[in-house]
Amino acid sequence: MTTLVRASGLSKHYGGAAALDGVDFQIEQGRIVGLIGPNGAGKTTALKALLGLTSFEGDLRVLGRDPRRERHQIMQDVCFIADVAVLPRWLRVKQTLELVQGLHPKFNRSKAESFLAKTSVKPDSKISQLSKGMVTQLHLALVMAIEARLLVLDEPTLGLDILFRKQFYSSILGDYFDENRTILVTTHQVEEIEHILTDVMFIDQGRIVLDESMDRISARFLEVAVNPDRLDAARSLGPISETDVFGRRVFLFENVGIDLVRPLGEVRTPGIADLFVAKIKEQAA
Amino acid sequence: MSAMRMLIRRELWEHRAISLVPLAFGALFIAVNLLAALGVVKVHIDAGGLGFSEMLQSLDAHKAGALTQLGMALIAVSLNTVMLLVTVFYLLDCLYAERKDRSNLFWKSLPVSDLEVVGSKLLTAALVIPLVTLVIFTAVALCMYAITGITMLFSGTGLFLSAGPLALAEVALTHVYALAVQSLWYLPIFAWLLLVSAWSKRAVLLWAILPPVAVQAAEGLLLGTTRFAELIKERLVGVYPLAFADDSHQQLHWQYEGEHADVDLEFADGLLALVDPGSLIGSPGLWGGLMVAALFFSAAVWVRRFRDAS
Repeated sequence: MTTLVRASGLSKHYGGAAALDGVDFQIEQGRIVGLIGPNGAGKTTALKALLGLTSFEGDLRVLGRDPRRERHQIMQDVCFIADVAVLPRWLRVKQTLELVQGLHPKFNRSKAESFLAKTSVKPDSKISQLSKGMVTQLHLALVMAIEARLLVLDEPTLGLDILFRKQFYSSILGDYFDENRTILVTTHQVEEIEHILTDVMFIDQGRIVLDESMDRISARFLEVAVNPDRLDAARSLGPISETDVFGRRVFLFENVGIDLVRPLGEVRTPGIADLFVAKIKEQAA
Repeated sequence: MSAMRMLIRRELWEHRAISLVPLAFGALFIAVNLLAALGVVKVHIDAGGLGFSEMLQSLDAHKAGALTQLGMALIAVSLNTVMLLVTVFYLLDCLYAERKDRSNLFWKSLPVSDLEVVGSKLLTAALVIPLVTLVIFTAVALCMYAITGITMLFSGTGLFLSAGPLALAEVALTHVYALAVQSLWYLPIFAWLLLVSAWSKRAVLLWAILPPVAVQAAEGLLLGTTRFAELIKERLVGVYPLAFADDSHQQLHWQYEGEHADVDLEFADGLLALVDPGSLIGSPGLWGGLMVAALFFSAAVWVRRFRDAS
């Protein structure tokens, strides 16, 4: 398995405050990794460090290169769409294609054109005339036509309506992703992407609090809607959280055997959002 | 190399004023020329009571050529002034605009280095804009030559029509030289404007002007001298005396005495005779300026590279 990103002791301080506090992680090829954290947790800083957009301390290798010194070489194999990556408003759609063709050696223009043909984006339109959803479609068309190894998405669907958001991820999954591609995505709308992720990383206050594959998550964490008469038994197993959901007590267990919790009530795999809240609270406690 | 070509095309797409503004001025010159030729606009020449046709009589081929060169040089100088203003605003805008419209992250997602990007902008200012202006000048000068030459033919002299091609060639060559030395001399100013554009959060023009003014003021207060002001002044206007010969007999001298008008253009050797790069190449101002330009340029690249995008 090829490791695309390797970070060890990655730190970044703004003034005295640590945005990233000695973080270690790896991203393997062929994975879709969700980087999830509250505002100000260090998500964007981590992505920026990875893309060579900010200085940092510690060791970070992206495709074997140092993003501080070899940023533009890295960008031949890494694509990114940031929430603020508005395309230049004065460009026309066909100029945009021409431009990326001229500047990106791994761009396949006809691929982008055939993707755009399925949308309502016209080649002669100026980007300033397009709706936000259409700009995202154009950006997506560019990215999908680039033979990149790593795609970084930073809140890519922020401010889009639900139709475009669904379309965005189904295009990424259906037409783009394969075992040679790797995707790193941050978003607030965790529910929307959790079914496509292969791995999750939780980040809080500049530290990684969970880094696990989705397969292992279902083995490691169990959510149990505990029957009212088994509450004490459940608490004795050391749950990481206990919440009230429609009048039922829902417990979250970490590394507790399924045979132990099955008698307590209804067992299921927790949603990423619930797991996230529990882990962040555990961290704060 | 093809990436650099693409980056420069992008500058021309984005900053359409680069060609549109000189074109508009060129069109204006042609329009005024045309109106004058048709007699709609009266050009009044006061020649001591002499008639226009008598004045024309006093011309010979050589003088007509000199006059034509002079007219074309005036067009070149006007377009050059317009071009320099366009260049200043282009440079102030080019790195600032991508942050203002928040498209900088898109540009940074492309595999081009900051050196190439900032380099393409300096190259646009120092080379591409002058070339665009040169092409526009040539077209405008050709049109005005045709209009004036034909008008003069109807007024009784074909001298201007025949003098035109050679005069244009000479003025164009002089213009190429002037643009080249001007670009080299102004390179530190261009690079400074790039740095301001890369760095400033708002009010780019103010930030471009304020620091030099502050340095002058500080120097005046602390040392009571005006060295820096002189340096700036030399940088702004000092290139032409250095790059062109100060030849006192190259004068336009239009005499008229009584009944006899004599257009005496002691302009004998034409514009190209004024070209004299020796003292410019030997001047410390040129080489010092280039070093300062390299410094500002590196700073601009560095700022674009590491400036936090958000």
